[in-house]
Formats: sequence, structure tokens, C-alpha cells
Amino acid sequence: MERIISDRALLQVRDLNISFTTAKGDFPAVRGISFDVGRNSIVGLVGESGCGKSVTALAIMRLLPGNARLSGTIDFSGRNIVAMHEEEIRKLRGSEISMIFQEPLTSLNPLWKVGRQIDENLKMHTELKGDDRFQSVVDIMRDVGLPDPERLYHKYPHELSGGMRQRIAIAIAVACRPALIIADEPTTALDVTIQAQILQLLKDINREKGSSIIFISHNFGIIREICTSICVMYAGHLVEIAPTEKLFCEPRHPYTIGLMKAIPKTDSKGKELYDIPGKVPSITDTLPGCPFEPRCEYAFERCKRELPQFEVLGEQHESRCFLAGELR
Amino acid sequence: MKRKRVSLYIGISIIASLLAMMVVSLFYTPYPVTEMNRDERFAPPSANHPLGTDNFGRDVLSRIMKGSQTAFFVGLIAVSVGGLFGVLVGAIAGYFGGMLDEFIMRLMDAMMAFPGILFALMFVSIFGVGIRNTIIAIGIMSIPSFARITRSGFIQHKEFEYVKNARVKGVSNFRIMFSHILPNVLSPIIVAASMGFSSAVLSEAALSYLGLGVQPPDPSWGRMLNESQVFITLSPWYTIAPGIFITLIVLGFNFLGDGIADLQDRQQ
Repeated sequence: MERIISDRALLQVRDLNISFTTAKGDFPAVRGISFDVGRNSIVGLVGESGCGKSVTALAIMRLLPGNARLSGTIDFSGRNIVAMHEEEIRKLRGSEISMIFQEPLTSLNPLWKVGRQIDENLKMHTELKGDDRFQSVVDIMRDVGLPDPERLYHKYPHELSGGMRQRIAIAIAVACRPALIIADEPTTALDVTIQAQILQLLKDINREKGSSIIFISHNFGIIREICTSICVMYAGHLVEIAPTEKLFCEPRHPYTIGLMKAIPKTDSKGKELYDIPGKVPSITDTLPGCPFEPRCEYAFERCKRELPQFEVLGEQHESRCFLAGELR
Repeated sequence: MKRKRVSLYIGISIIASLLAMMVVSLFYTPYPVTEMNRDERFAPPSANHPLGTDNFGRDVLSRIMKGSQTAFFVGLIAVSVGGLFGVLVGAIAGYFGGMLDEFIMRLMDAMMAFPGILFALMFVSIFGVGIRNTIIAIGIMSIPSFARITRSGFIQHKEFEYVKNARVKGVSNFRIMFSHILPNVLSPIIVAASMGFSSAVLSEAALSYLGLGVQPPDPSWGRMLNESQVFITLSPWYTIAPGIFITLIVLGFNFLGDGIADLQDRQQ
């Protein structure tokens, strides 16, 4: 019994459904997804815009807007986040689960010195006071690779470069050594060289501090670089889960295969870039069958009528396709 | 560019001079404010009495100076009361939204729909005539404008990512509202405060003119206007002096508010 608990994943999402109630009716944004985030792992959530990645992240943080309805369980080291009291989840945020946003300029308060913004996290969740706290903030800033932290402490966000701001945002997120960090496209707003540095920093944090990371992105290149396993999402459904290398070598869902084909490669220079025909179904469309069926080149009659169940293809590799076993 | 700053400078200079006059009056007035002199009733402006004297032979300049204390006091307290409650109510309505917002804002609409002076009249006649009740009434009247401005700022800012980031840090709603968002929406509130100051002074003058504000023998500009109107043909300067000063302070705060607003527009 003891062993099972210690082996349990840090975060277990089970049958998570999220829908938004509006004047025009209920719109499902996430439909019955389940996945695990193990301790010390980096899990990628990939998919096109509007497939439910960010909504899933906000659900884990319990920061969905008031008109969102949620069912299923989100188990975080033995506690169900969905059922928590507001005060309980507030204590969890920032200390055990934290989040990094896409745009580092807007995610920092323009009127607060950056040091104070990191300091606030320690103030909320630790007993540190005065000079000790200042010293901790400086240490954290140094840890995330900010030069001359004593001086930077007193700068305002607009005085820093994009890369530095994102390091500040990461410093805020890691200040209390959370068990889980949710990074929502943390490198999308940065230029490529800075992107690489930030990815390296996140990897270092994962390795040295042991924080698990949920990495949300639509960029397969980045996902491959950083993640240990990947969840591919499409129109609110999870369509394929696999360890990173496995997914890249043997994708077993037509959507994943399409995404892989759409990555520009050096040997495809001069050729027309592949794209998946059609577009993502709107949140208002309700299809009885597989959500990818209208765009799928392998689709057949059954796909229209019936939603495929997950097919286990090997160690931690599952695909939600009738043909999962046959696709090559 | 340059032209826009003019109103700011005019506003600052008017308010600064009036403020200086008020500070001086705390320690020094040319004559004691209530000293009557039967021999010098209705004296025209002269070297001894730059603004003349009133029907009791009191020095008008001294009374104007003393009256500025009332004006600033009433303005400051009324704006503080209105600002405090208005910002609080507006912040709650804007941040939490939903039914609470609807309820608060309909209440504010109802208050706005009610004529201010009428409300003050009613308030003062129920709770008694006097400067304290005047201030409270004026303060309550100014709550809706603060509430509306604060609410709109909060509605806009609560969707910003820095607020999300604060929530992600586990910061409480109260702290997010007043420590994170409020400083970011403060500038329109400052403009509203400046405008509110001028309308508070005007309301006080109006109420005192009607005899419901400051009670004699304490000088107030509105009261002086009231006392002097009987003698307007006999000694017009006695009427003109408080009139000019009321105009000046109202104009000053309006210019100041406009100037600050222009400054913000240019920054954005």
C-alpha cells in the first residue's frame, strides 16, 4: 500500500470536462481528458489554438472564469483540486503549483519593482522576514541567471529586456520551490536565442529543484527539446499520449502524423509545406464521432458515428484512433 | 504638445496661491475676523481694507482668507469621504462583477439621478444644520462618480495578465484589488478627485448661501455672498469679492483636473 502511494503520479487528471455557459448555450472546451504528470517529469501539452490547452492549465490552477463548469477530478499529490475550498487552493497557488505566462511584459505589474514581485510570493507563503527575505529574493534571482540581482531588484518591468522579464516571471514561479510549474507558451513571445536560454533554464529547474513542469506549446520543435512525455490535444480531446521519442518515431494518430509532416525540415527545402486540410471544428460544432474525422485522410465510415476509445500501444503510449495499431 | 500643459500650469498656480492664502490665514489675518467697526461700515477698497468692509465694518479680505479654510476643509473632507467609499464600492463592483456589481451600480445610478443640492437639503434638514452634516452630505453626493470611474478601471484591469499572475501566486482578492490593481487605475481617480473638489466647494457655497452650511459668525464664501446680496447696490465690492474667489477655486481645480487628464492622455 505504501509503495503505491509513493509511486503515484504528482498530478492525475481524470475524465476532466470543462464547458462554458453562455447566453447562447453550453460550449464544451475540454472533453473527458485524463493524463498524469509524474514527479520530476516535463509533460508537453500540444495542439492548435483553441484545442483546450490553456483551459486545462487554468483548471489545474482553479482560475477558470465564473461561467465555466467542470467535472472530473484533478488529483494533486493526494488532494482533489476540483473539490478544494477557495482558501485551500489559494495557499496551494504559488507555493506548490505555480504558473508562467506567455507575455512577460503584461504578466508583471508595471508599477511594482520586479524584486518586490518576487518578494510577494515569499511573503505569502513563507515565514521569512526583512533581510532574510531580501536575501532569498536575491538568491532566487541569481538562480534564474539574472546578473547583478541587488541592482535589478529595484528596477521596474519596463526597464528590463524581454528575456530578463521572462526570467523574473520564472523567478516568481520558482520562488517557493513548487512541485509543479505550468508554463503556458513561455517562449512564444521571445526571440530564438532567448528561447533557447529560457528552455535551458526550465530544464535546469526541473533537474536541480525537482519541479515537474507542464509545458504548453504549439511548437513541436520546442516540445521535443524539453519534454519527457507529450499529450496531443485536438478540439478538447486528448488524441495521443506518448513518451517524447516514441511519439516522434512512431506517431499513431492521424492528427499527430499530420502535425509532424507540417514541421518544416531542411530536406523539404523548396517544396511546398504540408498542412492538414480543413480547419479545427468550432467549439459550437458537436460531432458524434471522432473530432478529427472531417480532416482525416484515413477516415472511414465508423469514424463518423463513433468516438474511438484509447488504444494502448505500449508503455505509456495510447492513441485514440480505430486504426492506431495499423498506422505507420 | 506645449499648449496642453497650459491648463495644468494655470490650475497649479491658482490652487497654490489659494492654498498659500489659506495657510497664511491660519496664523495671520490683517484684522481679527469677527472684529466689528461701526465707523467703517461699507468702506470701499482702500489701502487699509484692500477689499473693503462689510455691513458690520469687518474687513472683507480677512474674512475671505478665513473663508478659504472652510472651502479647503470642506473640499478635502468631502472628497476623502466620497473617494474612500466610492473607490471601495467601485472596486468591489468592478472586481467581482455579476449580481453584486449590478446591485451596487443601480444603487449608484439612483443616487446620481437624485439632484445633489436637493439631497443635501434633505440631509441637512433631517440631521441638523451645521458644517459637519454639510460635509457628510456633499461627500455622499460624490460617491457615485468615484465608484463609476473606479469600477471601469477595475473591469479593464482585472483581465490583465499581471492580475492573473498575482492570483497564480496565491495573493488574496483583497490584496489584488488594493495593492495590485488600485495603483494602476489611480490616475483617473485623481482627476475625479480634483473635479470633485471643485464641485464640493461649489456645493458648500450653495448650501451656505441658502443658510444651511457654515453658521455665523464663521466666515464662508457662500455665506458672505448671502449676507452681501442685500447690499449689492450699496457696496458691490462686498458681493464681488467672495464671488471671485468661489469662481477662482472652482476654476483652479477644474484646470488642474483637465491638466492631469491631458498629461495621462499624452502618456498613452
